Amino acid sequence: MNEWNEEEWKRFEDALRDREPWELAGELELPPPDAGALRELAARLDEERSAAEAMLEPLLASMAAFQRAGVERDPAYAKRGVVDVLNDAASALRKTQPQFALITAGAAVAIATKLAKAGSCPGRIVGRTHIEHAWALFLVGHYRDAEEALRRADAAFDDDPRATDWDRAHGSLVRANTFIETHRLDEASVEAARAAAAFSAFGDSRDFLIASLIEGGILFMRREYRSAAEVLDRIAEEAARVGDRLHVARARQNAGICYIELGEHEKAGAYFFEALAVWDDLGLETERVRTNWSIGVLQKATGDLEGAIERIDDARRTFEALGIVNDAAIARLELAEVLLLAGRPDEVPDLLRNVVVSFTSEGIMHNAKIALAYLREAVEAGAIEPRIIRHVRDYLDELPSHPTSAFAPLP
Amino acid sequence: MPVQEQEVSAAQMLDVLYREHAPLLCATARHRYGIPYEDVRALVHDIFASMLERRPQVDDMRAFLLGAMQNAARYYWRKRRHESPLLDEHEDTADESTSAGIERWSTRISLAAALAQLGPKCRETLQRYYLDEEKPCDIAQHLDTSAAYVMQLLSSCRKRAREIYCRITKAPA
Repeated sequence: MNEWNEEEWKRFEDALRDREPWELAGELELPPPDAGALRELAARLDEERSAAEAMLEPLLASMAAFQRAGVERDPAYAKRGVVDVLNDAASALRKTQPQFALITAGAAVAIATKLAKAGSCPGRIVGRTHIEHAWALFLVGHYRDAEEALRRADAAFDDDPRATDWDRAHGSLVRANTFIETHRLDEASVEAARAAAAFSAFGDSRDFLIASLIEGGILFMRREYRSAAEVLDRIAEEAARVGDRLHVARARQNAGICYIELGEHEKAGAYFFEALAVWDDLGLETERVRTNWSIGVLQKATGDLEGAIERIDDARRTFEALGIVNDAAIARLELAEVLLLAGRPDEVPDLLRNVVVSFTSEGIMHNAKIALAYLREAVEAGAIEPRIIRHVRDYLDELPSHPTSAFAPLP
Repeated sequence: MPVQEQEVSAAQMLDVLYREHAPLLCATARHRYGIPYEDVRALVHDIFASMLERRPQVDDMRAFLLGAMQNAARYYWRKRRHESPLLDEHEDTADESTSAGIERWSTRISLAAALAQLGPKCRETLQRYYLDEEKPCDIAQHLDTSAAYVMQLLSSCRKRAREIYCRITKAPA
């Protein structure tokens, strides 16, 4: 048992001299109001949920089965429990199958809207369906549609006196992400801070950490590495306090990148290895590869070029095997740059001839192709240099955040 | 993918949370937000009903319910703006000052909950000493015992109150 220090005891004793807690104590001993109506509601909600789970389980087995069923048009599925199950399914599908999440969330919006018109779905639930829809739209790159979905969520919350700041904070979280991708960093920062404050007030540590990580990410994007590292260090401490290892590792991984930029290589290394241990424990292969890649970048910064080549090449091969196309492309470019720095130019042309990227937006794809054509031209002319590779890599890396920025060759 | 089966049913959630937090919400509605006694019950019912619908996966349900109460009180008084002006406690957004306000309130209500769980003898002794500022010898006279025993009682009761308080707030004891 931890002992309180003198200051903590003093605060406690001062609080005991306050009249209010003593008055409240008497009131807290009174029996709570009868919960009969709430028990009935809980039983009804559980029943509706079980029925909806039974109906939807076979359909959620595959996207094709779900699309074939057309649940949003079938009156048999026009039920509150169905909306809840679809919302949860969309949330779970987001990271692994965003297209499926989009279809599921769209169906939830359609059903909830229909039910709301008949007065049997409150605004706070309709709002949640719009937020899930916005998440999925964001993840497939439809940022304007995501913002429109968030406006609808706000309107639904405005119509419902029981909607809380916690409900709205989930919208702020998506909005912050959308603003980052459309390079509106000031607005993103405001939304992330608003979400973090609400999640903190509502005792939601997990979402508080997610919102705080966005704040740290924005500082990183502004190249304010010291401030970003400080924010991320605080997040790691808070995550450790609540036993959230996933966010400890995320914060350490991102802070490590900041410390590379700040030239504090020892600290960066310690953070990456701390994150690596968590990814191994949690079995998160993609995250492990990313951290391994970051260690390679650190080795490059410290002059251990052979070590860097080994790690970055390992990351590149794993991304390619997993079909994570854009990260594989960036790793390929990073590897080529380090090979040149290490005096191994022979391996570079083949590596650069096969760089492939994939973007859903045609505009972004068009810009990316111009950058890659410039790279190939330099390869074919035998004029490839580390600075050219770095220029193309930085451009491709930031392209999703600056979709309209045209590629400018180096002078 | 399989459907996301919720680990805890609404009925189980209600059983666990209502007994523990409903009195706290009632007291908060009345004392912090000045909600008239006759409206408190409906407000607390609505907060629990919304919580059952959403089944939030948060790690501090007490904070969640207090946050929901703040929002509900804000709406309650906004509807009655002509009857009574909005106070600081009814702030519009969950900014830092309001979360600090909720935190201060949360500390006070947690201490109250700890006092409510103390045995009557401990509670009376602590109340006489801290709130009524009686001297240990006067308390001893009232309890028909020695001042030394009262000092010992104060020490053990304070420790007990602190243990309960830390359990309620989940702070390390």
